[in-house]
Amino acid sequence: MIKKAAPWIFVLLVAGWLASKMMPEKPAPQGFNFVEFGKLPVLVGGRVMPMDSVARISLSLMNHHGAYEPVPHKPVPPVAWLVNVMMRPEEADQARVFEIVNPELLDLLGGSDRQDKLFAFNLFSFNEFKPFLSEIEKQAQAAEQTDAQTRNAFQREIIKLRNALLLYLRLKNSLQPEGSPDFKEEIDAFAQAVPTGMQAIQDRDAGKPFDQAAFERILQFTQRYQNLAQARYVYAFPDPAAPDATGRWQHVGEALLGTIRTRRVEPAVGFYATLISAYRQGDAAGFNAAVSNYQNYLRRTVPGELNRPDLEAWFNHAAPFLQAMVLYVLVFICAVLSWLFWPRTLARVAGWLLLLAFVLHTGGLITRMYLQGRPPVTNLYSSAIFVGWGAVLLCLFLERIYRNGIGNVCAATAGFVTLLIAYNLQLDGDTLEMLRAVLDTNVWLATHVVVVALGYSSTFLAGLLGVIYVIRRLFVRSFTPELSRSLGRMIYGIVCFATLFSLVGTILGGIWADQSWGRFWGWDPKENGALLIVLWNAIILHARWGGYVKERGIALMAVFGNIITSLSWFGTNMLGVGLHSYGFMDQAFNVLIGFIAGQLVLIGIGLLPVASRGPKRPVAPLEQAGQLTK
Amino acid sequence: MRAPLRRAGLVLSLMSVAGCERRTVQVYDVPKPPSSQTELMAAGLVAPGPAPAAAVKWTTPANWQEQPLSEMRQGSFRASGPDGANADISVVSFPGTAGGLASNLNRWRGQVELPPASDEELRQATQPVQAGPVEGILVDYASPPQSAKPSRILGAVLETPDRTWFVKMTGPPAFVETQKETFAQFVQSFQFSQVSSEGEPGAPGRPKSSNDQ
Amino acid sequence: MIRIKTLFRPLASLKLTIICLACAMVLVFVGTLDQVHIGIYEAQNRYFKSFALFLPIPGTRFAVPWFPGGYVVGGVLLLNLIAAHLARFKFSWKKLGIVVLHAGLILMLVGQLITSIFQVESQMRLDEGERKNFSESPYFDELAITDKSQPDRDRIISIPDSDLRKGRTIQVPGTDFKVVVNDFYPNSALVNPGRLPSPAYPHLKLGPMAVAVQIPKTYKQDERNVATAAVTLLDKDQPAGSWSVSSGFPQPVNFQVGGKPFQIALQPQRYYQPFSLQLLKFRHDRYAGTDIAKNFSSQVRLVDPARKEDRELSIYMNHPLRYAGLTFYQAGYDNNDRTTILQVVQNPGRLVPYISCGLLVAGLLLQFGMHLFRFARKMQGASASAS
Repeated sequence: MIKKAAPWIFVLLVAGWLASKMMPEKPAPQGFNFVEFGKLPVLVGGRVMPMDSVARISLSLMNHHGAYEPVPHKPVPPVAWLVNVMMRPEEADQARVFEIVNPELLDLLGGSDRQDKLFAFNLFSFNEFKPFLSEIEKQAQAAEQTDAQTRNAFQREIIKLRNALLLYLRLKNSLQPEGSPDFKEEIDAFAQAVPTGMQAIQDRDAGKPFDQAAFERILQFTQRYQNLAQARYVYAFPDPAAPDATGRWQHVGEALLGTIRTRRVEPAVGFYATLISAYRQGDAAGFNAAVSNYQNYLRRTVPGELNRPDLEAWFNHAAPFLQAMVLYVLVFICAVLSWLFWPRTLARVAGWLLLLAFVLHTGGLITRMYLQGRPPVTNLYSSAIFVGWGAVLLCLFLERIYRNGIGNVCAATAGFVTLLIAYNLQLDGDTLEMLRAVLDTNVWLATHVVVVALGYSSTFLAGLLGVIYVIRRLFVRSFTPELSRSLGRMIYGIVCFATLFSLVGTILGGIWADQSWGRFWGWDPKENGALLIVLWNAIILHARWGGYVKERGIALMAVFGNIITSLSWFGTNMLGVGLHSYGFMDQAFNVLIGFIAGQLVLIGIGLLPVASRGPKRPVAPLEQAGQLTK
Repeated sequence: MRAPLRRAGLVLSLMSVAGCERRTVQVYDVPKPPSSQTELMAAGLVAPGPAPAAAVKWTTPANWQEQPLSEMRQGSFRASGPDGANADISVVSFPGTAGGLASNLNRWRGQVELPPASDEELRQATQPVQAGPVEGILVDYASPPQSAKPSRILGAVLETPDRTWFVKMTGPPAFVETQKETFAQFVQSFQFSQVSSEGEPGAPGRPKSSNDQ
Repeated sequence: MIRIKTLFRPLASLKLTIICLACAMVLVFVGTLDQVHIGIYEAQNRYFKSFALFLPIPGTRFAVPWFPGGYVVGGVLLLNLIAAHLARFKFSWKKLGIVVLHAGLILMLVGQLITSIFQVESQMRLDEGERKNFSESPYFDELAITDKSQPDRDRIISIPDSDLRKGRTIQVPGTDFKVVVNDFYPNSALVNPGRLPSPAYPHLKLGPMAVAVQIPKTYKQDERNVATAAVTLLDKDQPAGSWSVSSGFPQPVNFQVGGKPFQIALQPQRYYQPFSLQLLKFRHDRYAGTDIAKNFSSQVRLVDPARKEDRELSIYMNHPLRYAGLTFYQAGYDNNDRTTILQVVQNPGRLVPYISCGLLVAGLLLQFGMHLFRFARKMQGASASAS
């Protein structure tokens, strides 16, 4: 009885744990309601996002954890750190969020002293950079003179550091001029100074006697806010009266300068000023009330802008892809164990957990599509998510047909690895970023890109099955000819799919290129990479049809296909030429080389002869005959 | 394997017939282009080419870096300051009055988001400057206070007998302020030499070589 | 006939197909890696639009071919496909998918061959308000000598830059002109004469304020070589003038021959059209608060006196203008959004990829569809017999 119920109880427990992780966050009852603040919409990088995303993206550009951990393993919620940066910058300047990895750069900043004294010696606070700021700027400018492809590690990292510092400065100046002792008072004073100041300017221009003090005061304010407007990055202030999307969000500097024209302070400025004052005075109730009032104001004036940021803030917190990764690991364990004992039960458990993981994976994908308003694959990050999804989907069918646990194992591996790759790609900035003009076409994004991604999925799946073949083959006793044939058929079937998807995807890409740039094929690195995948899959099929390879040969060729696909997917980005260069990744290069080396090793193992599976004692002829007729 | 090689040989010879892009000398007629400038030049009524008729020399200030020339600019410099501030300086010249002083000054005003001014207002805002015997004017335009992208232009206009020279510095207001003195000295250092015009396109049958000058 | 048969069989072999595919993979891979150094255009010429890859022998001017180039691999593959079909495929409905698939492939290879031979790509730069009836090559230059004596038309003598080699004399067909090339720099930098290391440093004088010095050719994606030439024009073997011209100084030099006004210039190779395009307005929309381009669009006016066309239309990303066998794409912009750059493509084989792809996809779906169908039936049968 327990044996029957235990697996379901386990699955239910897992589902319950999932649900708890994905519930909307509850804020601390007595403290500041950072959760609600995190939902406030602002315009950054051309799209409206919640403050929570701003915090996470900014941190991910500063250190590779994307977190602020004053105490190891106890990260502060990103949004709490951001509030400090925007409202209490003098305190935030002490937070150690900037990570330096390059040893030369560390030396430049006095890292060798820190190594003995500090636990996290390569994490710096803004204060610790202050004596070096001009040096960093000088070095970064020098580094930028060199060609992007030939920069060394030091140059790349110093440019990255300088950009992170610039981002930090801009964040500090997003809601108020940094270092303003009391912003609320300041804008009150500013509002009062405007009418008299403008009058003074008019009088002066007309040559009449004018109020010198008022003139100078307004000039001071103007200068201050013009400087402030130089730090544009977060556009936090909605302008409901703006006629179209381009003017709807303003930076604080612009909003304040607008006061000169309109003679009144934007309500949004007032709301944020109240927020800042409440926070600086430690007034949690006041802070929360101000957030709530501001949200009501937004709902009245710009109602359309709230839905997506709310959803995105929840999505950041729920992190369905991270939960799915955990589930995939569980699936893997259950599926492998199912080969050793409790085959049916564990296989069922693995199947259900896989389904749960797939639902999470799909849900995350669909949410991203809604948030971005685009088909699922728009950049490298989303391509990783989708390739994993496609592979898992194919594996679901595989398991349904063959029912031998291999489908589950492949799904778990593919799902986990691709989500892990995606997680690491997240550290380049905003994954929901706006698309460049040339990509601004949903039709081709939905067809060409998706089909090519499915081509990657299936080629990787074939390669994964090939790896399983190679490893399984080493366990000679249990590697029956049936298993070999079964695996061989699986690989062949998946390679057929891979050929179909990659050829159709490449063709669609050619048609898109012809419609957009006037040529069907331009020998662009990404195009060439796709062509290589098509050619290799075609070679596998032709080799099999010609009888030149059998099951082992196909498996090894499929493993080689992994190398080609990974080069096409990531290697082409590292070349930095052509229309397809979306980003340059440093550590990824080493990972790629390691992966390729690993596949080559596996191919080598596969080529080695293994001890034959034949019987250890001579067989009597009658027995042999009996076996033959079975 | 010999057969495929022979095959390849046949293929090669077939392909060479098709050939790659072959470009040859061509002679063809086209309708006259819509520009009147070229016609005037051909009739010898307007002095040709970007190369100025009068040669000019100047003293480049110490902290200005020379930049590559372009088809429009006879001189191109870049001044750098602390905190990454940069200003761009250009020297261009055109034959004759180049459209008139007012239109050029108003063009500069437009570039810093200032409204166009009347001739009288323009005159009031100029300062005289002297480059040897040549007289010119200096102007200083800054963008208005509510501009989101403040910038500033220091400009000089010098008129020689057959050309007008424009010297312009563009950059962030505070930095340009620091370069005001340097700019004025640069303009004052211009020396125009008395060289006759580059060629007489009306002269029939005389071979002209740009190596002669 | 015997000879053809002995050639035929290996040509139709599956082994040859695999070898060709593998060679293609090597070409594509090595060519892609080399692009980083020599740029896409040069890589295309060396690896894909060539018969062989050459390895230069150091110390000599010779180069040894060591690997077949794109034309050879593609050509052999094409013949292999055709031969295989003729030799081995007995028609059966079961093989229909593969036949259609291979037909599509053959058509695609042929189409790509046509394209690579006949396609001409050029660009049109239009400033706001400017009207042009020609486009310019992004790679090739020409020495253009224009006879401006006629009131209604110009006669242009165009000498491609590939003909400009130091010491050559070029006869212009149909005229009494000869052009003597005194010097030629494939790539040059234009500098102030005061910046020459010494007055004797080899240079060509373009004007009192600018001279050209030779620099190595660039293969970078977004850089263009600035050619400079020093030529002498001979009219009936008498010198009519000598000039230094450069594509970096595109203003033409005026001169006279026999009382007729002429111009000479070194400029990007021009392709004239019987119609003109005028840029009315260029729009560059950016996402709010960023510099990321949302879309570009050019509002242009098309004037074709021969076909009585005079209309306005819009060219933007993914929406080109197709007219008179040419296609105009929005490729780029310049000059602070006041200049548009249109890509102009003339490709007679433009539709072939569409047809061939349709065939390919149909063939694939047929072939794998039948496979899948048979496989599903087998599994159904297997599970039926097992239960």
